[in-house]
Amino acid sequence: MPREFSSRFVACKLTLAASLLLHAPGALAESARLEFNRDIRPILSDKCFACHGFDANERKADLRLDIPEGAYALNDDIQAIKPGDLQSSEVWRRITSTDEDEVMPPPESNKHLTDVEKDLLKRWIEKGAQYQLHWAFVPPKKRVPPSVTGARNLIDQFIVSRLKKEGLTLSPEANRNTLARRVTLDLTGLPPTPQQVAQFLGDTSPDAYDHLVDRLISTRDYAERRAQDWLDLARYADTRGFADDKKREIWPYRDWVVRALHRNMPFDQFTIAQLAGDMLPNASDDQRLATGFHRNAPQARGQTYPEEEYRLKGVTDRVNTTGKVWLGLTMECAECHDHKFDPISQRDYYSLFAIFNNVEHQGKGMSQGGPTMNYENSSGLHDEQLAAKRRRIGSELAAARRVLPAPKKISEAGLLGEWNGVHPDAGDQKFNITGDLTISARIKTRQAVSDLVSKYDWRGGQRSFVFGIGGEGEEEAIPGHLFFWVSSQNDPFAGISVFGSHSVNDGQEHQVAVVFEAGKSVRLFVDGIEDKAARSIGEVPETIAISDRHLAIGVGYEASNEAKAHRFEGSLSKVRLYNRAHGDELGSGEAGEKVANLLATIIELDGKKAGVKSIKVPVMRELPEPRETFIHLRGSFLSRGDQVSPAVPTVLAPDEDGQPKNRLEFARWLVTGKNPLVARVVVNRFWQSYFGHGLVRTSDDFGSQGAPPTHPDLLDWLADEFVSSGWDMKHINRLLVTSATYRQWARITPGLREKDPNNLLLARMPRVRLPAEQIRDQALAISGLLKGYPGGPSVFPPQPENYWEDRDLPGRWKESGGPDRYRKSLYTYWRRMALHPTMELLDAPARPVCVVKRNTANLPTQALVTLNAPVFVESAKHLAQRLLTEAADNGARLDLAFQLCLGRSPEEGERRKFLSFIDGQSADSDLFVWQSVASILLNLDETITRP
Amino acid sequence: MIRHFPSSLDLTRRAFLGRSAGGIGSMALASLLNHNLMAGEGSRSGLHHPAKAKRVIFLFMAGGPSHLDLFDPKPKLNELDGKAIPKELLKDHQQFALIRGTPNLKGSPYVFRAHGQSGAVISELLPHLSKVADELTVIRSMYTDTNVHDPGVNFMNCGTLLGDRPTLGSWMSYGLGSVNEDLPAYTVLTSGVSDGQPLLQSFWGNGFLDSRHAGVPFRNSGSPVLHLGNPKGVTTKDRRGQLDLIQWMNHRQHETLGDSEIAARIASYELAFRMQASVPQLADLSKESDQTMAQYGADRVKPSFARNCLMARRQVERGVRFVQLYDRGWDSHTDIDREHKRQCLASDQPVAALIADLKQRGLLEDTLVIWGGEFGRTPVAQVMGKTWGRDHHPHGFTMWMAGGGTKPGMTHGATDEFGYHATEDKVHVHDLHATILHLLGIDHKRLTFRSQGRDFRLTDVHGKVVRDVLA
Repeated sequence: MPREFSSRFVACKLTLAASLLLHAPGALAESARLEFNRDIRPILSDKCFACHGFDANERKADLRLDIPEGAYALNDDIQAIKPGDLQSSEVWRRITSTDEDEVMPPPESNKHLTDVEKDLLKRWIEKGAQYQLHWAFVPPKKRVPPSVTGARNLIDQFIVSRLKKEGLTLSPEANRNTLARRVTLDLTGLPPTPQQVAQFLGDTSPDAYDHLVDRLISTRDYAERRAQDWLDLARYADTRGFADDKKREIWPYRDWVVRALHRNMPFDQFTIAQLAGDMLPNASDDQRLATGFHRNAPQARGQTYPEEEYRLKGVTDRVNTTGKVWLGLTMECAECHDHKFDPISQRDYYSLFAIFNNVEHQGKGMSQGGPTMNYENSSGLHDEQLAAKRRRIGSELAAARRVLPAPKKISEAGLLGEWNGVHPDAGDQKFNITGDLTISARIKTRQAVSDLVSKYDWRGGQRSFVFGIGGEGEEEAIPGHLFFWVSSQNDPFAGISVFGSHSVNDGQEHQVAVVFEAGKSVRLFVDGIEDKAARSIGEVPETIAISDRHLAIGVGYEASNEAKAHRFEGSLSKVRLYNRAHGDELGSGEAGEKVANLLATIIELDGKKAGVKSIKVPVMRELPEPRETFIHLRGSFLSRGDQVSPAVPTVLAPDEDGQPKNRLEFARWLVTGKNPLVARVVVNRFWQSYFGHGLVRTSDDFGSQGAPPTHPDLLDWLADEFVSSGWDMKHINRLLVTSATYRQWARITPGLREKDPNNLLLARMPRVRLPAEQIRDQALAISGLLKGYPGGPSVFPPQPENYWEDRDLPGRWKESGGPDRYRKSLYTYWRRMALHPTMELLDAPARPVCVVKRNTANLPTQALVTLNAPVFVESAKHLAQRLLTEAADNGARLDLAFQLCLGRSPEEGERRKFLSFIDGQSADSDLFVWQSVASILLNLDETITRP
Repeated sequence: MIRHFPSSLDLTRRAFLGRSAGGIGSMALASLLNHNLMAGEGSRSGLHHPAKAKRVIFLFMAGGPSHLDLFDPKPKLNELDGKAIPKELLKDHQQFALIRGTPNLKGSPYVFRAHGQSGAVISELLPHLSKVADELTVIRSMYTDTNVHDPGVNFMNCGTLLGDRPTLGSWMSYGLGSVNEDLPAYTVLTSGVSDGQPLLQSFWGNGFLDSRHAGVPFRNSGSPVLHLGNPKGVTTKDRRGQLDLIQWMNHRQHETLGDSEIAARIASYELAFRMQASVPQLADLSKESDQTMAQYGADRVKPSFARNCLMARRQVERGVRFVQLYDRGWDSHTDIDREHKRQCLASDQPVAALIADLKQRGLLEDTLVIWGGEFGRTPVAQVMGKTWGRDHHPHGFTMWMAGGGTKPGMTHGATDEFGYHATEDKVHVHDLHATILHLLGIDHKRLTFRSQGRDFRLTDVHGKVVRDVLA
């Protein structure tokens, strides 16, 4: 999202520093022909379009300069631009005026034209003031790579030929150790092992490097590393955002991304699956899972967020993200008004909005959300034995159910009342039950979270007892399953939480019940069958606290003495409350017992099979009847303007096949190969991941405010290559890393620094500080701690004590034990509102919105992380142990340490320096000394930088 | 966070700041070469005009304190206590946050008196603050865009509900740089009643600015700054030895490759080493006199809002530019008497002490102190059994400022007779932001950062400097 400035601007400013300019419009223009898109549009866009551009509402003096029809028009005998005639062009008179009331841009705009810019405009008008359509909206042309020497592949031909124009050449190739480390880190996110480096060095065949690349690109590590970039775009996180920031189980989507990238799913399919997999004919589970992409947006929950406002925020996010990821456009500018710089009207914005506006939005309050699908991890399905056992028990269960007797009627002993429907205030103190109780009810609902009977307000410090579905959205609870909480104290909690093992919100009628026997047991029943697989946390209390809250039926409390939270929707009847434990009567005798046991076994088996419980993953599902969509004036959800129909922005509109009418058609439209933006935007991001910057440096903005491509022909060629290869992502990635351009040495000579300080022309390979995940993963890998298991629920490696508690964030960081502490950072629990501090401090984004490019800083707080944070201390220690075990003497240990951390042996001077450091240590423990050396190596600039 | 060797990013950032400021361009560029020059220039003259305030202490009363019970007495409201809220107030009104139906008006049970020479009117709940009333600039006509907590806090911090943009402190750090060598420019101190309102990363986030401009939270448990302490068994001498070897290697690398980022890395490791000494010194209150401790009502060790007030003074003394203190627990829905009394008891004395202390040290003159929450509370009651409270209220509420070039002893703006809508000299959150930046020598329209093709500002496309409150 954040990024460096557009190159043209940087270049402009560097005149001050008397640097030689490569890319300043002025400098180029001396020798080259003026080109509107390269030389003039940036000036007009930045200085003029805000008032004389596309946005009709803000347009001043009814003049638009973004199209020739506007600029050339005669208005009261005044012509803004008269091609070829400077003196008759009002624009020229105004920009050179010394009169404060006349000069353009007006002083109060804080915009200012430099002499260079004025001169360019002058010459442009004199030469005929030719306009061009903004380059990014013109489809890529077929480009023929110029023929040059020194190229390894076609990419290099473009790069070298451009360098040649400035009298430059590529830098020499980096040495092979560097190459091995560079390409391994880039492709897999992990450093090469010493063996891998040795193998590469020993392979003298001319295509040794290509073989290395082929091997790396085929690994799962490659897919995981590429997924990391994609998850920034997808704003993937494990929580829902906003204040409650609860867990969102959407990690199966993350695993889908890894799988798709691993098997090199073509980008067109990759696109369609994620944007509209649910709408494909006979959509597979995998295709539906892919649509998690657009369920990653933050979603507010709770009573105080106006539901429609925060639903619309979710749709807005989908439009903005889609605009950024596929079109490279800043759609969000048009949310409130016509785009000021690019031809995207507010109507265009809401027409696209209409395409994404048809997803169900369910529930209220804490259960706000959208459609989900059941997901069971398929990894266990291979276990034939397990599958056979499940089949056997399944048929036994079906048989046992067939012979179930009709449920018995419960005696009325201890019955305190019976209600039908919702009663926010069902009575007062007489329901102050302090001992045994039974609650039963008939329900029929599709709701995931609601209270059935409550005298419980934990936020208000008034706990007593509550029975319902989905545990008020609590972290431990499972949506759609029964729950019962009871506490012997109002505040804090002292009692037991019980969660049912299967869902009751399937829209069928169910008889549900809970039986509390003070100090002994809590039992849940569904349709006369006890839930023996229910999960309990805490101790069964001897008594129940009395709460101020009145008995509420079908609704619950949230920091208020009025029951209005977690309101039941559906049919609710025969809600009975007893001050007696009616356990055995509720069951269906022996037959019921048998069913209960079989059911519990099945649930346990399913848990084993999946490795996790079956979960509900957010996905997209289209409403049968599309919602009506309106323009929202000034972006406000309250002010509706005209109604709009689904459509793509006019400037991109297809002229033949008509408008996409829904998400699926839209997704397909994106990847027909005819869209001028999509392929360019995607290959540009690939370029960015290896070269630090894209060919369009503003990788999130291909509009007129963005930077023009440094190598337009190369960008077009790559885009075309991408489409003609069948959208083959691995092919393009392979092309980039096998180019001579990529294989250059990274040294910045004084000459280069002066000539091309920002390395726009790539006469050297840029060095890139590793992303947060790779800094941690590398330390774990080097030390031998890394566990490479793929996929599954996110894990909780140690984080500082009380990190969440200090900030009053709900939930608890349940530190993972065993191997999960050492998984790749890709699998670290990504909490949007409090990212793991190692990730946060090393510049990983919390992903509140789509991130196209990360910011990287260079801070003392980061040094403190790699020097002192437990994971790095532990890695250093483990590395030290490894060195002590695997090598016999200090010299060999040092060699191994350098090989592991830097992929090379120490140079002679380094060896002497390190050995003397080791000798100078007073500590008598070898481990301590080598841990110190390990920590030094893990902190080197060379280590944390992709060379 | 701390200025060091220029990276390419610095170059563009500076260049950009210079761009809109015309003549400042060359100065900014020159400053790249000399950290101290920039620090000096920035602090003395402001970015766009002379600065009145060099630093800010923002006392954030999270949850939303009641303007009606603290600063904005309404006789009419007391007179109509218990009557249903007039319909016209609910015109164009979305809904209350938690109250449903038509609630009744609720007057304030507390006594208000005029204090000091200025006659500032303050509730009996704030006896200490009343003693420094003449230092305050009370704005009774604040209003904001939401009545939901976290979007409200985000809005007060960064001008958007979602909190995806840089916060006030980040903009300040970005615009003015740092004036100290070994502490962050922007810190966040948290404490107070745990009321279930979480503190989110976005509250001190850097948005699209780079992470040196993010607020650094000081922690109440463990080391004040994360990972400050050396690993077990590693002494300062050990660490110095390690650093020397790291830097030796980094210098070699720099010589070979000529990449200025390596020079920046060398500098940041040195700064980290200095922070390891300076931060514990900062957090160590053993040298503060008993009298000072008593004045603030703080314990030397036990975390509290009072202790943080003292810590804030120590931080600004050492050149931290922006300190934000969170005092939580103001969200009094159903028992305002108990909760607001609790909050006032814990915060009134230290806040007054902070102002007096800054003044006595000559710091108040150029330190801007800001007090307020994300919104106010409703003139209608939220009743629960025998107790009552007030719901979230965005349409009119009170904040105050002190020092840093504000007009002392004045009350600005007013709400209607019910304290419902701000009516006179209304001050929107964007206006407050514009005013704060103005006091810092920054034109809010000219401090911009280009992200995604657009020049973003803290105040978006809004904001007017409230001239009346400037000294």
